[in-house]
Amino acid sequence: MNNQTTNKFLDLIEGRLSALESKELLAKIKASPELSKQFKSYQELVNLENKINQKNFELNTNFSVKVMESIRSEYQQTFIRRLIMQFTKSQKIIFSGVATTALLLVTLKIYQENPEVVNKQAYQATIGKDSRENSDFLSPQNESEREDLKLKNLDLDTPIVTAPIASKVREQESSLQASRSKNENTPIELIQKPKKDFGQKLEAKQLPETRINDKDSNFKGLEGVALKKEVFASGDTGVAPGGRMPVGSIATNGIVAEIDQRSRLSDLPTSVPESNERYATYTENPIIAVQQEAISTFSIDVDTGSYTNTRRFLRMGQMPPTDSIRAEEFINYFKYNYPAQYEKPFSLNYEFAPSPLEKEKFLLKLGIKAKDARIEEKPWHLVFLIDVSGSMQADDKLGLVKQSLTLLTNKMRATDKVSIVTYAGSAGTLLAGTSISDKDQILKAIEGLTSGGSTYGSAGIQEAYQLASKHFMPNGVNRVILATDGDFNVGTTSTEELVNLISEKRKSNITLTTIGFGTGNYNEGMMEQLANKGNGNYFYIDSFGEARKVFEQDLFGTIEVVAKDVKLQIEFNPEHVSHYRLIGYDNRLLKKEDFNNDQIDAGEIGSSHTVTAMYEVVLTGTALAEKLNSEYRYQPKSKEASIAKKDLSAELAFLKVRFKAPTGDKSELLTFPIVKSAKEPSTDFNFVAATSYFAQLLRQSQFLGDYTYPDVLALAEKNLGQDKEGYRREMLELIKNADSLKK
Amino acid sequence: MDEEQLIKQVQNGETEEYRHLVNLHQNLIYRIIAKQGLRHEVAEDLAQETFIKAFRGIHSFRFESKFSTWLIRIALNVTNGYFNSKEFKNQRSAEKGLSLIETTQLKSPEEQVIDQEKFGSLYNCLAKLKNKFREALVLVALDGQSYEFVAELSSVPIGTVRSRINRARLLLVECMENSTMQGDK
Repeated sequence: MNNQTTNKFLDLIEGRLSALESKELLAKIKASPELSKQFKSYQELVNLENKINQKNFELNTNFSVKVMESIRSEYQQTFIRRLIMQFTKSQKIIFSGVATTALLLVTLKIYQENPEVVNKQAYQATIGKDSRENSDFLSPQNESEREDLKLKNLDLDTPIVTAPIASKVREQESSLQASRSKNENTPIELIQKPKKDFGQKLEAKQLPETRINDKDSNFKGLEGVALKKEVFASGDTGVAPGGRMPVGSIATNGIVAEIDQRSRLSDLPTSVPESNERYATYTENPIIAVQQEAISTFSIDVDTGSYTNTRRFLRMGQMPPTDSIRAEEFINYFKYNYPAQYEKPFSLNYEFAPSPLEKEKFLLKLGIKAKDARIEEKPWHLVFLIDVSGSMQADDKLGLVKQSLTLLTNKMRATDKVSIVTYAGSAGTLLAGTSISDKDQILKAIEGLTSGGSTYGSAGIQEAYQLASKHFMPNGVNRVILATDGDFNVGTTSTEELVNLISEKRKSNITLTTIGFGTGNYNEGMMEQLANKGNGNYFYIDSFGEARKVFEQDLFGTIEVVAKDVKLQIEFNPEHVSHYRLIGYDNRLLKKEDFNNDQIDAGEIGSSHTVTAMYEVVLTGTALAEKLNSEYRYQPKSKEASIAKKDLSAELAFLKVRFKAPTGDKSELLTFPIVKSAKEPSTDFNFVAATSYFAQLLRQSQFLGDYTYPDVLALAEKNLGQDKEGYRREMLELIKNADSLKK
Repeated sequence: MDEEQLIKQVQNGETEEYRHLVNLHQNLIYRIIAKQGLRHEVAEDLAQETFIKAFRGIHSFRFESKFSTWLIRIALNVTNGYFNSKEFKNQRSAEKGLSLIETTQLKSPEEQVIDQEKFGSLYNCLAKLKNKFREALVLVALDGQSYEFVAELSSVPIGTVRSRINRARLLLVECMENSTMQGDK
């Protein structure tokens, strides 16, 4: 049956045709026995449809009660996990694989002995402001809980101080940082090896059974109670229920572990099962007065996932969540021209010029380009670790994975090897150290991938690393490439243990790249964190075009690491610079003293990769500097501003770079004075500026200047440069989308 | 109470207010799920799942569309997930969905049986359609939503919605004819 004819059927039935057209079509149908048969069936179907259409379907009235109950029980479950974690954290005990019941009992006991840990705000958030209004099913219970708490002399009315939370977080983090090397070998007081049987995820429905003694335990109200410490852990005030469960929750099976002290607490992804997409919250780097702190230190980052993820949102006609925007990943998505001069593994470049959109500010662009190491022909062993769980079943997930890996395999050389591990309900090895000379076998294995089952991610990772060790190439590149939607919903290991495994293997030069696919359950925090721990990179792939970019270009850079633990430190000259702000790299800041500490892990740079960073700079003596300084009573008023302006060769800042050779332990230092110059800004400079403005607009940055999407669009449009692949042009479309969505 | 107000309250942590949002939209969501030919119990479960998902993700709702549109999108994703699930494929229980349709009492018992069979095979075939076709057909033909609405919901042009519906009907006709033929044998 041809579509055009039947499209006419549709028009005819829905009365969209003129009388004449209808008549003609009917005549035509009548004339052809085949057509009239088809039309009859079509019409019959429409009749059936109409009958269904007219029928009303209604739910019984207590549906909303059911929904709320299940939300509450899920919430409670998560809360209990976090409670357990909190206590075990403070006592430096690791439980793992112990039956949930036992954990709950311990937790309850501690809770009952420490009732002062009640957070009023969270309590109210759960119960609702006016509990009487919800009296039909929630309130009696909550009222009595309230009474209970009062009986226990809990001060429900003292507001929890929320303002100093940020400083608390920092305080806590730095103390963690300080203690972490010491603590790495802290003896563990209680360890039980996880058993598979406990790898089941905790179903909300199981809870009532595990709550041994409901009445006595006073447990029902617990979901409304949060620990003060928890507030700090989440970086959030109170307890946000549901999808915004504070970061740092424990693994889904109720296993408890201390938070990884290496990572910032806010970097840890949540492990709440089946949640929507999750992004770790972060705060932006502030404007810093040079008088207060002239030195800025950060780790490089060559990830680009934030940009591609944003592109996905904007193409779907949605604004991306502000927390998913990382300006440095926008900037580094694009390639820039840096002159190649490699005495060292990489060259340093900078450009300093007035901001194209904010008159009073200047921008300092720093660029690093690594040498092309691919020429050296190191053999590769890549272990493809592929998530084939049910959640991957979509063309934009497993379908893309297959296409991507085929691309990559075709790019590899005869000396290279490939292993394939899949994981779903259980992990399985498809290929172990197969040489590229057997390319057909590899491609066949990739083609045959199918999805099904839950995601037993940790077992997969362990198996992949085992293979990587077994087929280790001593003089080559050994890397695990994890392709997943990041939805690790079943596993015997906590995030902590995974991260430890990955960090451990990094030392034996097996690195990890994570590649995110698809939409829905996408857990970005987890992906980025794993990659960072494995000295690797994280990419997000949303289309075949993107797969081509990553697998044919970017990945080659990141597979062959040219330098690792690359840290940048810049000292601004207070003579000339009054204030500065690093755009992006918000979770990449390092402490001043970390720069010279070789124990501190930082970003890697791969073969022929470029890394770009942008500082916003306010010069001394400008009106803006005066304004920013006006809050200081004793701040020295700027000296002769004219000096700074005239002296174009003045040294603005001093750049130091530390890095290690890919397998080295000791770092090398490069230094570089940054002077003002009268050169016109390059198109690259202006495009980086446009990109960072775009990211800040999407982020709804608190430091937004007086510019709008159309301004950024015009700036980007003028500075496309060569743009052979059209990547820059593509951003223009995204800016337009964002602009129209804003309206 | 104003819906926008309610959503903001829930987003600000007054989670119990969510119940009102559920009350407001439960019939719409249930109807759209049930009309795809699912048994009452299944449809109710999926509706519940929809509301729980929406609750978890309510912070990402930014008032850029109507709340109901957003919910319907989630409901469709949940239902599509169910149709693609092993659970569903093992059961293939769509024919039980026909109990949802009461045939009119004016008809003779024989006619009623025929009607039931037709609905049964319609639902069976509906379940086999690709998600995008089923979505469009259910919303427009079975629930009377406008083409514009479906176009917005699926982010495709209206013409595409039209051709999807047409394509869906063709596939259905084909599938239903095959299934009755098999039944005859």
